[in-house]
Amino acid sequence: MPAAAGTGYRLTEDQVLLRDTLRDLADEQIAPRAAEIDRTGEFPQDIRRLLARYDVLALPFPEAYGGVGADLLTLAIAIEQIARACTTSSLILTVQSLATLPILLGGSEEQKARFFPDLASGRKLAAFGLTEPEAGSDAGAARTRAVRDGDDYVIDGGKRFITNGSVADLITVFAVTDPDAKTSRRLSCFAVEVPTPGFSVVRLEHKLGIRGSPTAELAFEQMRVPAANRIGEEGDGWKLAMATFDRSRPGIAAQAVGIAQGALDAAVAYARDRKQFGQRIGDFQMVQAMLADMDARTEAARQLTYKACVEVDAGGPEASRWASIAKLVAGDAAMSVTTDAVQVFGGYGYTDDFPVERMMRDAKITQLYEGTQQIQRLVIARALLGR
Amino acid sequence: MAAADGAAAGSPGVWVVAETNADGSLAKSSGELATLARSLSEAGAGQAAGVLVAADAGAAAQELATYLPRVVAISDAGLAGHAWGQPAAARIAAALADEPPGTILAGAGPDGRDVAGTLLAILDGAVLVNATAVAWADGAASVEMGVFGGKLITTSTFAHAGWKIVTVRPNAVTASAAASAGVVETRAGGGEPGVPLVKVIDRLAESGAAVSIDDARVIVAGGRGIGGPEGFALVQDLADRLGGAVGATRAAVDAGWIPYAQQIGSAARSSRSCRSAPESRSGRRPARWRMDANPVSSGMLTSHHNP
Amino acid sequence: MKLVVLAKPVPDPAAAAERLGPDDRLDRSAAPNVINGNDEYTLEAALQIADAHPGEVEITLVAMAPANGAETLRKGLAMGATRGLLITDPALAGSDAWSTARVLATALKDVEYDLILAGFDTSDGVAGVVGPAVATLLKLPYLSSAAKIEPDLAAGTVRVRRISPTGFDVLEAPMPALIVGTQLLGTPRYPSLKGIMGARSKEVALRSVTDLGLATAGDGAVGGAAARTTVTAKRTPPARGAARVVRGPAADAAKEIAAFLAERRLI
Repeated sequence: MPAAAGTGYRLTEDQVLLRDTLRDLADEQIAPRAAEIDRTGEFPQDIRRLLARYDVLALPFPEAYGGVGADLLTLAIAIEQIARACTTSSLILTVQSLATLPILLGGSEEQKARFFPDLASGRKLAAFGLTEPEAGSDAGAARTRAVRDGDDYVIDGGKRFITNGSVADLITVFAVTDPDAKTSRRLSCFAVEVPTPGFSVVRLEHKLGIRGSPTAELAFEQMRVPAANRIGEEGDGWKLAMATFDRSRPGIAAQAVGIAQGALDAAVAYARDRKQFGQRIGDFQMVQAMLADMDARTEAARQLTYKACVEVDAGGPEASRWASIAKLVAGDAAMSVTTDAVQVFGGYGYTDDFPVERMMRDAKITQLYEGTQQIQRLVIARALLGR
Repeated sequence: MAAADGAAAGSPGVWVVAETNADGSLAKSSGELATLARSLSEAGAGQAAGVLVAADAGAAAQELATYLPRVVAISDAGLAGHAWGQPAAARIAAALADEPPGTILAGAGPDGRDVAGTLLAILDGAVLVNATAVAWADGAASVEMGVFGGKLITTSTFAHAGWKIVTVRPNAVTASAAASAGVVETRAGGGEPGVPLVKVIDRLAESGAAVSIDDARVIVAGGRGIGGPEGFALVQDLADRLGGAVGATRAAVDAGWIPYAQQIGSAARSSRSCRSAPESRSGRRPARWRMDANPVSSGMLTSHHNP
Repeated sequence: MKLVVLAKPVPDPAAAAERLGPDDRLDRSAAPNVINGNDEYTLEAALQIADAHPGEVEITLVAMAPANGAETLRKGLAMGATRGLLITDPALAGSDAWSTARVLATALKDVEYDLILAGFDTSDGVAGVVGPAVATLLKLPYLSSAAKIEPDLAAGTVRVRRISPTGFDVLEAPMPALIVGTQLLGTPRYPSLKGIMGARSKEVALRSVTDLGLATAGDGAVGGAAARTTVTAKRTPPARGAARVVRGPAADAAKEIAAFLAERRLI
C-alpha cells in the first residue's frame, strides 16, 4: 500500500485506485474484445462508450469544463492500463488528449468552454492533424495552406496518417498561414469541426498493427473555418505542436509500457501452464532468464515514463528531453519485450490463437509515431549539445 | 417444561437443529447431522438429541427420532407464512433454556446459517462454520473446515463455557439410522423472537432444480460450452440417469440458462474479478479446457464429489 | 432513506496470497486488501436503490478492520457510497464471529438507518452468521439470501426475493431491517474516475473499542484475546487432480467417460 497521498516517490492512493479500477475494467471489458477489434479493423465504438461512461475520456480536461483535470502521470497510468489489454482502445484516450492539447495550451477560455465539455463526456472525438505526405518527421515542411477571408480562413491541402481522422468530430489542423516566415512561424492551428464542406476522408491505411484505430488520409478543398476557431495567434502553430509533443510523448511511452506489460503477463501465464519435456516451460532457466529480462526492461521503462510525466508537468527546459527519452526507451522496450513474448510462446506465439503476435505488431507503432525513435534521439542530442 | 426422563440433567449434550423439506419431510442434511451427533456422543460429548421447529413438525420429528434417542418437536402453524430462521431460533433457544450448554450442530446451508447466527446472539455463544469434519477431542468439538477457497484446511476448537455452535456442510458424514428409534417430546410454541416477523408473501417456483446440488452425491455440470438453455436438457438427461443433480457454472447461470440454485461453487464466489489469463482469439486456453466439439462432449463433463 | 452496507476489507483472493500468520490469525499483510467480493454486490444493490431515488438515499459503509481499512473503503466511496465508518483497534485483531457481531451491532446503535445490508459471506472467514447475529442483537427483522431488494419508503416496508431450493420466496418486513444479499443482486459497478477523485473528500469516521464502550477483557469482552474459538491445526489440502480432457469421436469419448466414472463408483 502506498504512503500518504501526494508525498514521496510512490503513486498516490487515488492513482493506485484509478490504476486498479482501470486494470479490472480493461481485463473484464476490453481484453475480451481486443482480438476481434484487431481482426475486423473496425473502430470500437462500444469501447469508446465504455471509456466515456467511466469518465476515462474526461481525464485530460479541466474540471471546469466537465473533465477530471488529471495530471500527466495519472493520464499515463490510465493509458498504460488500457494498452495492456488493447492498444487500439488505449489510442482513443491517447488521441483525445493529444488532439486537444493545442487548445488546452493555446486556446481561449471561450474555445475551451465551447469544445471541451463534449470531448470530456466522450460525446465527441478529436484527432490531431499535423502530418502530411511530404511532412512527416519534418513537420515544418507542411504545405496545407490557410488563407484569411473575412471572418473565415479557407484551407486547402491534406493530411496523412491521421489517427482516428475518419471518426473524429473535431480535428486540430495545422496549416501554413505565412509561407515566407521561418519554420517556427509558418504554421497556425485551427479547430476544424467536421463534417464541414470541403472536408473529406480520402482513404484509410492498411496497417501492421493498431488495426481498429482508423488512420486516415484527409483532403481539404476550399474548406472554410471560422477565424474564431484559430487556436492562439497566427504563426503559433509550430510552437503549439512542439509543446503538445512534450506532453503527448510520455503518453505514447505509457502506451508502450502497457503493451510490454500485457505481453509479459501473457508470457508468464503461458510459462506457468505450458509443459514440454515433462515440465513447465517456466522451469527452464532459459525461459526464466527471458522473463526476468522482460520484466526488468518493462519496469525500467515504466519508471522512466512516470518520472518524465512529473518532469514535463513541472515544466522547465528539460521537458523535451525527458519526454523524448521516455518514448525512446519505452518504445524500444515494448518492441523487444513483445518479440521475446512471442519467443516464449514458441510456434503458438506466431499464431493468432494468442495475443502476443498482436501485441508485437502493435508495439512497432510506438517506435514510429509522434516522432520516430530517430527524431527522439535528435531531440535528446540537441538538449545535450545545444542548437 | 421439564426435560424428558433420561436426559442427563447437568450433562451437556450434542443438539441437532433439524430442517424440513418443503413437503414437511426431514431434510437429508439433518439425517447426516444426527448421525454425526451420535458419533460425537459415543466419543464422550454427552447425549445426542435433536430439535425440530416447523409448522407441523410431526412426521419429520418421527423421522429424526430414527437417528437420535431424543427429539424435541415444536410445531407452530404460524411459521407457515413466515421466514423460518428468526422464530425458529427463538423457539429453539427457549427449548434449550433449561439444558446445560452443550454443542449445537446446524446445517451450513442458508436456513442453517440463519438459525446458527441468530442462536449465536441469543445464546451468547460461540460458532465455527462450514465444518467438513467434526470430532470430539479433549472435551470439545474439534472442527475441520476449508478456508481461503479451499487452499487451506484448519482445525479449530472452542474456548467457551457457553453454547458452542457448529454449522456442518452437506455430506460430511453418511446418514445412518440408530439401532432403535428415540423418544419424541412434542411442545407448542414458546420463545417469541421479539422482532417483527418476516412474512412470506409468495413462493415462486423455477423450472429445473429438481434435485438440490447440496444433496446430490453426483453433480453433472454444464457451462457455456453447451451452447444454450436447450443444452441443459442433455445435462439433465444424464443427471437423471446417474441419479444426480444438474449443476452449472457461473457463466451459464449469468446467461440465464439455469436457475441460480444450480450454480456450483454458488454464492461463496468471493471476488468479482479474477486477474485475467491472456485472452485468445477463439477464447481458447491451452487445450485443456476444451473438448472436441461433438454432440456428446460439447460441454465440459465434470465428476464432482460433495462437499 | 438511509442505508448501511457492511463492507469487510479482506485479503484480495485474486492475489492468491491469503494465509494465516504465525499466530493462526489472518495475515493481512500477505495480500493487498479489497472489499469482500460479496459485500460489493450488496453495495451495488444499495447504489441501485440510490440511483432509483436520486438525492434521497445516503449510504454508510461500516467495517471492522485494521486502520488501513479506511483506504479499502475508499473504493466503496468511489463507487458512490456517502461516507464510511471504520471500527479499528489493535485489540480487535483475531476477533471471532461473536465479537465481530457484537462490535458491529454496538457501533450501529449510533448510526441512523432504514436498512442494513450485508454480503452473503466473506472470502476470508466465510462465516455467514454475522448478519443474523447483528440483526438479533439490534432486534431487527432479518431477511436472507436476497436476490432482489425493493424498499417502499412510504409504506415503511421492504420486499426481498429470497433464493429457495426451488426458486424464490417473496418476503416482506417492516423497516428498519437487516438484509443479507447474494450475487444475484447484480454485478458491482466499477468506480467512475470522477468518483475516485471525489472519494478523497468523503468522510471515514474512526471508532475504537473504547469509543464504543466495549471491553477487551472480562465478561462480555470482545476482541482477539476474548475469542471463543481457536485454531489448533492447519494443513494444506491434497492437490486437486488436473482436469481430464477427453478427445475423440463421440462414441469413443462417451465410453471413456463412462469408464472413468464407473471406476470411481459414480455410476
